[in-house]
Amino acid sequence: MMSPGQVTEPSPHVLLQDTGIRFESSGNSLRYDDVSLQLLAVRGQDVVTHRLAPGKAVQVTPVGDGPPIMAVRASGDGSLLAVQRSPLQLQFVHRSTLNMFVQGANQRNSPITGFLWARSGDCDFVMVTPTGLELFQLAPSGQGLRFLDARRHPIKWHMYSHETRIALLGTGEIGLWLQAYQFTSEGIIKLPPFQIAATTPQDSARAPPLSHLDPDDIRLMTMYGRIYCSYIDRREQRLYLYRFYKDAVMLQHQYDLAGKQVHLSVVNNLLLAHHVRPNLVMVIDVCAATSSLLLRPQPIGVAQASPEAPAPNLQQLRFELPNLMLDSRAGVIWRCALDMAAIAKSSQDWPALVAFLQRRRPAGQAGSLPGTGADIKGLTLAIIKGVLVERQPMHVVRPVLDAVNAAFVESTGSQPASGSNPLRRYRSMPCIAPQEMVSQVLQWLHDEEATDAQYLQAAVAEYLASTEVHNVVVPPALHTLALDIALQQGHAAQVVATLATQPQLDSAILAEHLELLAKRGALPESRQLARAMWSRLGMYDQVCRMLLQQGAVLEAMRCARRHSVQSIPETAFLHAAAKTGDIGTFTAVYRACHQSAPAALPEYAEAYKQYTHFFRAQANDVA
Amino acid sequence: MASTLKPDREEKPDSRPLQLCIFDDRRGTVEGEEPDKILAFFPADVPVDEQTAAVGLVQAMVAFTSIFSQDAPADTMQAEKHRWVIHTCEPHIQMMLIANRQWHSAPVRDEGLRHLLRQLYSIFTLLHGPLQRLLDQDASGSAARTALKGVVAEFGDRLARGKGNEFISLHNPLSMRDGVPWLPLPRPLFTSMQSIINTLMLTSIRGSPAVHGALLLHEHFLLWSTVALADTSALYQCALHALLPAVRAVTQPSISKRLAKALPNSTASFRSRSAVQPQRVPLSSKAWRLLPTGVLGLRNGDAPYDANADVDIPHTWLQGGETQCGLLPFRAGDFLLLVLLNDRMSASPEVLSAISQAAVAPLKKLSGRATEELHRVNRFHVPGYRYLYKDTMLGAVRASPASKVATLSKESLALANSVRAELDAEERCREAEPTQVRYAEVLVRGPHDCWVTAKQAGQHEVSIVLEQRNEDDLLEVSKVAQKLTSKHMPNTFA
Repeated sequence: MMSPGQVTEPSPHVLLQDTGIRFESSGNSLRYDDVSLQLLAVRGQDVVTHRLAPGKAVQVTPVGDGPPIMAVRASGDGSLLAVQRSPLQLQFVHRSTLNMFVQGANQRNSPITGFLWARSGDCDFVMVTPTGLELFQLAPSGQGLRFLDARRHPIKWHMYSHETRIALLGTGEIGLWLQAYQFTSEGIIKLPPFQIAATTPQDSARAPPLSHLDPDDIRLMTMYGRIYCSYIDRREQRLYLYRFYKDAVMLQHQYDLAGKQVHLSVVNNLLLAHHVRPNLVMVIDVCAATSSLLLRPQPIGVAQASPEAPAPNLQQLRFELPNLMLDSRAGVIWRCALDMAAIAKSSQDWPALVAFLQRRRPAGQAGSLPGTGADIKGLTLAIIKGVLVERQPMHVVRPVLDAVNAAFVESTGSQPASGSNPLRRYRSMPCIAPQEMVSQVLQWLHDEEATDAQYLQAAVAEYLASTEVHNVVVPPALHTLALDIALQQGHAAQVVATLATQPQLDSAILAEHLELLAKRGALPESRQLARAMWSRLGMYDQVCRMLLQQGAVLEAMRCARRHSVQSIPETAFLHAAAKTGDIGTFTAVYRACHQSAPAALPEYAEAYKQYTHFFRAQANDVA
Repeated sequence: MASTLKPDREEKPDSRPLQLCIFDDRRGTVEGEEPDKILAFFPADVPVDEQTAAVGLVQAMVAFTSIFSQDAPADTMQAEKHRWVIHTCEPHIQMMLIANRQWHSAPVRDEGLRHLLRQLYSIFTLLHGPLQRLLDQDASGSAARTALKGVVAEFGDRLARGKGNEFISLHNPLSMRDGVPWLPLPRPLFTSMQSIINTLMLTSIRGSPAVHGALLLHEHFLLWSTVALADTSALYQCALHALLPAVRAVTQPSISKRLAKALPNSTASFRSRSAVQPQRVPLSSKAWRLLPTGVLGLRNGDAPYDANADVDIPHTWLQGGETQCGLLPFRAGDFLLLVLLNDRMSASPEVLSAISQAAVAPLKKLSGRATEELHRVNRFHVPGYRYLYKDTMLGAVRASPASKVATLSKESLALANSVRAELDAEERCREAEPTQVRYAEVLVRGPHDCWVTAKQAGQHEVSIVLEQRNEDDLLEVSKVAQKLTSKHMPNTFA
């Protein structure tokens, strides 16, 4: 088992992983098209497309004679190419039929500074001109565009990210006012304009806006389903994250960088800031409770370098958001992966570490390598065990448990009414269910005697308090465990007090456990406690059974009649009554049973004869 | 059992409403050395020959009645002007209470008086350990006598005055003083409290565990205890007698104290009076003072508070003298936390700060929420009913507020008293067969349409008084009583 006390030699947290995708590196016209998820390259009068799938899926589309190709964009399904060969016109080419048409901006003679395939409502295609965005719909025949509408802004520069569906425009005289439009299925949302502040770390609220902005320092990205705009201030070596809300854009996070040349990628909702010199990767989690980094930046590692995919030179990699690195020289596409096992060993801030791990999606979904600790749940459990085995104080233990429960609630509890099976939802997450927490951590610690009982009792109390705060239901097995731990220390009074004042804990499992303790003689009061619990649970057949076992026949009979207990045969009562050796009791029970089920019993005389040896024994005692 | 004792011999019978005596029947067996039997007597100024005469009488009666019943000789005597109650607290060591019939104004059960002796004994052993051990350590008996003196005097003084909560509740047949008022907490509060107490239990100073146990109170309700039930009860009594009043004296000062504060000139007279007071035992609220840190420490004369010095705290004996602990109480918001320090752990500033950090500060944080959820005037009051519910397994009680019981007529109270006496007798008969499941039910009608019913089922016991009801047959009254039990004590009397 891993002990959290020992932090091993720093090893990379982030590894470059070969995607298996190869491409022909042909000049600098190569472009990653995030709308169609293809690489687009221009070779003379041809457009070369690479599907981003292992193996080479290259397709060459001749677009006909004409001026040199300046820019190409493919539609979402890749079937239609928009090609710019002159400032005023775009040429549209169907890849399968090579049919084409030509379209200029709606505003006559306006130069087209950009164009994008952005779908929203009727809109299929957008042209960017110095005076605004022009929205077009593709004709049903696919052989023309129909002008829909325009959004007027003096646009100096623009960028579009398909992942965020945001077109960000640099407006104003020198493009310092940022205006974002989001292309959603419901329509085009205009977000409030904002400016990047020339921030100093001390006073970010009142800082004047920047006087110069290089669009290359700006990126759009999604993390945890939230949309951010990042800005890298290379002079001050700081990274700023602005979050887009429907009605506001807020500066939410700032981080100090370690160098000027920084590339960004997003893996598993983490922002990776790759520093080229020195080679370091900062792992940034916008959901962390503090802005200080959990992980000390480490150099990036390379997983599975091979002769056909040699370890790349970082300076030559092209970083494409969210998570692609293009090595044009070797024609290899890399992606980043997290080494969860290395991460789990790299910090002693266990609450933060557990919370961090719990926020990660498990293997296969994104960004973790098989064999590098993709078993996030196992890693988390190991950390929790280690924390407890080391007897860390409760003020350390509690936040760890809170992190576990918060993650569990988040993955299961939020919308139980939606009809989706919550169990299935959390199985796909690394979060730890109370059952696992009990069986794999707390019960394990108890069985292995890995901690002393008093410490374990405190840990269980913390876990119960944490589950209560997070509204997590715990399995009855936890209460039996808590009871055993208290008894182990001779705290019988605490067990009695807990059961007497906390009827919420009642369960059949606990009642059975109490009966077992009674049998073992471990807790003198446990028989009474069990009976009281059965009765609170309304399980009167169990109450009856216990009373009969204790020889309280009349009480058992009374209980059976009052609560119409059917499951115990009349003869059982009669037998128990005879065992008391008291003829009066026997007769009373016989009459009561006979009244309710005359057929089940023999005649009184016969019954008496059957049990006569009990009464004789008593008569002898008296004599 | 009635005795044909001659009229009492005291010259001023009314001046001694209550006498308490503790004696050892193995001592003073030689004629002329009878006073050696007596370990403590209250009032202390009773002439020695009267003390020995009283002891002699009781011994004679016990010896005489044991001819007829060897296992259960007489333990009460009813005389014309006095009632005598005897309790054997340790083998050969007897406690005796002689109550002037004028002292109590309304009927009081023998068991009620015996309960006082039990309380006195449990508080004594809490503070000093078993008597036999003191006698073994010092065969002259002077160690035992010294230890008993203060506790018996404090306990007797308070009762003999004929007022105060102990005295009043003696007359209340539905008094909560019969046990410990455990207050069941709502789940969220319970788990928060458990987390704090268990963290407290882990407190260690330089590697050695500091805390043996803890009790937590809110107002006069017990919320939690980590120690055995008998110790819980003794510690709770100690809190009720001394600690809670000591806190109250600071948080809700009496008018005279407030006056003294407002009129600085008059303080001199109050000061001079307190200066001559004798050294108090920890059973007295005046023995304690609330320090600025929330710690309750013993008054060390009039020594000023020194934050760097150890706090003076009493020793307590738990588990019948098996374990010795320091009793270190804290006030934390509306909570009273009794910390039992491990033996050889003094209440040093280091210990205090560790405990404050582990428990007192978190409790203070919790206090507001707890008070909001728990504070309800007349908690446990159920309109239309006057009742007392006991869970004998936990020693827990729940009852109508005393102010509500006080509205009952004298006759109803007397009837309730005799019904409870009936149950006491039943209980004592059955003590012989502890394994049996106990069931008993009494239903009595009294004047003014008053009904008294008492039920016993296993470890649960309830007494209910219904006054001025229109029900006029047993079945109806039984149903009304059942309504209370099924709603407020569900599944206990079903």
